[in-house]
Amino acid sequence: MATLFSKDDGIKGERVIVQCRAYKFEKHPIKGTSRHKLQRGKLEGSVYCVITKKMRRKGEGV
Amino acid sequence: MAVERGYPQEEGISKRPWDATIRVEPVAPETDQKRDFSEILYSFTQMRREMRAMEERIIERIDHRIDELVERGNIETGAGEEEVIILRAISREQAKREVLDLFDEYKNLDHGDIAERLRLDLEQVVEVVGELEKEGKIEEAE
Repeated sequence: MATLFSKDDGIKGERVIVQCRAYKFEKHPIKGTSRHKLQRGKLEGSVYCVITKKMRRKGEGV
Repeated sequence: MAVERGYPQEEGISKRPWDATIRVEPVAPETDQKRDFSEILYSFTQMRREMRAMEERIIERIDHRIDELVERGNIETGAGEEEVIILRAISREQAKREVLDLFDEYKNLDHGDIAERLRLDLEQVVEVVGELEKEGKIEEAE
């Protein structure tokens, strides 16, 4: 589990939980990014992001 | 010129009433009326296309203007009052217990679900969940 702080550090994931003071998303989805279009936004102030997945009690799914 | 069409006569079979020869008048490839109609249809389609483009431009300008007014503070978005979540400050051990209890209640949860339901700081949730995973008490569901 690493926390990245520097400029140009990036994270990639299917599900990312975000906490910040302010956010703004562009109103229009980005063209040319398939049918389920991407959206772009900006998070500002004490931003904290974490890649997450659904979890369960061990042995529950067996 | 009239074209004659009919059923082929077979030998020994008498001519039945429905075997009657059909006379078909030839149709001109395109009459003036048809040409007029297709021209009207074409201009109508063009007009619709232009109207749609114009509508999109108008909506875009209205959106832009609304954004300007919101930024200046002339209008409000009408989103209503925001609900503020007050986070609880609890010990790591208590947080672990509460997280495990939550997993007993709701089968599959991610960090965001846990932080929201227990009203805990997201960073604390990440730490606690990481520890519980290392201890072998929880695992990835997907």
